Amino acid sequence: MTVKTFFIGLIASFALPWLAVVAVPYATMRAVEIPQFDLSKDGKEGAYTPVKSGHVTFGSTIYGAEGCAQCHSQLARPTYAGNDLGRPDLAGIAKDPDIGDTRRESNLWDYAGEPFAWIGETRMGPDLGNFGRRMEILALKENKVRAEELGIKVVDLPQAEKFNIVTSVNLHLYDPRIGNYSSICQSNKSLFETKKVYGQGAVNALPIESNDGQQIIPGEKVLTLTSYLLGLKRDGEVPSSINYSRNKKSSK
Amino acid sequence: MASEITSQQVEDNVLRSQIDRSLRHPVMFFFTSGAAWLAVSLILGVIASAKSHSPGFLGECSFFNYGRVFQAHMATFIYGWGAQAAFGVIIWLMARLSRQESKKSGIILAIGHFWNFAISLGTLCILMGPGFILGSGTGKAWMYFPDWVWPVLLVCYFGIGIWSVIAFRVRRGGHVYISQWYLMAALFWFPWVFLTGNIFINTFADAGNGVMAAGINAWFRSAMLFLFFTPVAIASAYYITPKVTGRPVYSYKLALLGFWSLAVIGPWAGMQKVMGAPIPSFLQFAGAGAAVLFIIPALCVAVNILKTATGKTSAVAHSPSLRFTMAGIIGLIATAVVGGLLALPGALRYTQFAFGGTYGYEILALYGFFSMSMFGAIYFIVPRVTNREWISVGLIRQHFWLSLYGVVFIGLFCCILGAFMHGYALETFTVPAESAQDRLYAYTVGVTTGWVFVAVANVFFCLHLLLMWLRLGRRSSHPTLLQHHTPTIPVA
Repeated sequence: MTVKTFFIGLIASFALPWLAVVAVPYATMRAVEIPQFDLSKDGKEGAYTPVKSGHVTFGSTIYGAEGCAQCHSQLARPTYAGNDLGRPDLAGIAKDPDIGDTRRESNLWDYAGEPFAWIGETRMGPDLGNFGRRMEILALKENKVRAEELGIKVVDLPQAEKFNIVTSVNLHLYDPRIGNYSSICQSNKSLFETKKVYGQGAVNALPIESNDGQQIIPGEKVLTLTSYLLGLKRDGEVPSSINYSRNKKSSK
Repeated sequence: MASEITSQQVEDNVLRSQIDRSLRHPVMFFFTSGAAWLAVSLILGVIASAKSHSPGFLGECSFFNYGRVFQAHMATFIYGWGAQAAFGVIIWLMARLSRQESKKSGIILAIGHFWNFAISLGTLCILMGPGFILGSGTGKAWMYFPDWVWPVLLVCYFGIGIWSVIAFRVRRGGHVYISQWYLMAALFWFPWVFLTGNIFINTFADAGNGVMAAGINAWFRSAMLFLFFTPVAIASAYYITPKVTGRPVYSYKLALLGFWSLAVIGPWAGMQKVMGAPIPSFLQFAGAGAAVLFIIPALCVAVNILKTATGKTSAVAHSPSLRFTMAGIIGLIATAVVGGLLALPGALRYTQFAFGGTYGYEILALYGFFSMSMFGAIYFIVPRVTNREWISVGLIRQHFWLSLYGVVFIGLFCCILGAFMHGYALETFTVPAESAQDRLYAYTVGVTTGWVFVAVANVFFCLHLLLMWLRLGRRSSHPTLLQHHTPTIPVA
């Protein structure tokens, strides 16, 4: 083997896989055609434009910097790769009497706006792909219970009595062991501020007792992260062209 | 000595000692600062691991939050220890094999300082978290440092590596040894892989697709492992084993097969980590296939090295370099077999997101294989460049046994048990997810225990190395051996 053939071999053996698994897929994945709803199959027309809410890009950066992806995944795998569609509430809402079955596998548009998709390293903590959806359902249930206790309708429930989703997530980020004593999640106390109460106090202060008239108030980064987390709703209807569900409606 | 010493041998000895002397400071700098980073990384690893089962450990100081400490632990392990140990071995081995003394060791030494400075600042950024003035950790595996760090590292790499390429170009003798193939390949693959990963994921992050970025990140870590750390460790094993046993390499053909199968298979692996993500499934299965096929180059190398050392059990027992190298080769087999097992598409559904399915494998590869081989090389190189012998046999022995026990512990608890048992609980969707978390406890405690062993071993290793650099080693013409024996030639 001469040095020349050695280098030619080296370049060839690396360049081919580099092109095939990195460069070309990167280029083609930059602009994937947006799937369209089909009138005959989906009963409606138009482009698939899932709604994203919250501080997606900045929240995603904080999510990365705090190492959340180390323990939390954000992926509902197709059945060839795992049982995620079977796990309750991971891939969507399973058989809710009011909402129905919203479960589906993750698609490319779920991660829109994020420069890096937090597929995740491990599942030492729960999958967060549908965290926002789960919290939404939790709020509905909580409000129903509270309204029943007060003997009124849910719509008449005063704002102060309603389940506050944002505060509930902030509380978890402040100390995960408040809600779940066996949690191994990290607390992010440095992202909160302790301030003296003036007047009625801050609206978004955490509902925990603090020393000598002080309140714990979520900082900007926590609110961004919470907003990102509550925006994680990766379930619901997709066009038939990317719908791999077994219960997919067949064309009529 | 009964045999006559020819003028050729004298010349060779003079040349060798010139090469060693010319590289003393850069090589010792890389090894010592690498070992210091290893000690730091392992202490961070113990903290991270302790927090994964006892979240209240060290209070709730955000500086030591699991997410940040873990990133700092891996980042310092890879770029602080791994890369620097590799640099030390590359520059020395390439100079020796090309029979060229280094004329630029001052430059290499200076650039080495920049490398360490960048790593220190990067690690600080990770630990300070979001909002820190110099940036914060990214959370992307093997790319944890803030975005400004990687160009600095790449420039430093060119400043360090280019001299070895030049030494190869102007080599004396013409014959190219197996280790030189691997070193040249590593020197060639590293910038390509490093640049590709960072450009696609960091620089053009907004231009590309986030999911593909996650896929390329998975490829990047696998390519760094298979195409940089692996060839350097193999090059060292191919050098140390024949040198210490005094035998030629068992089979040249097997070495060729091992090299080219690595070159052909290595770059395909990686994307099995994002199995099930919305990227082309061809990428995921190609990755899984290549990760399984990595067994071929690994076995070629392992058989070749083990056959070379067959029958020389006393050399393996006595020589610290050979003993560590042999442990590293066993680690290579374990890495390949466990890696293949974890990447089988049928197993991947359990291991993909399980505790240790990735971490345990990476530790097995980086410590059980790569680091053990590097220790072997360091125990061989350091006495030659400092012209002193190792101070304490006891320290070497504790380093070996604690490392071995520690990494076996982690490999067993984290890789095998952690990956499959935790993964099984995760996949059994009829039981609540909390049951999976309950299973985790035993394995995380197991990993902490393993890391404590390894951390103790390496804190002392770092001290030992530092004393050697200060040239406090024994002045002796006999190598440091691990077994007591009566010397046949009485020392005057």
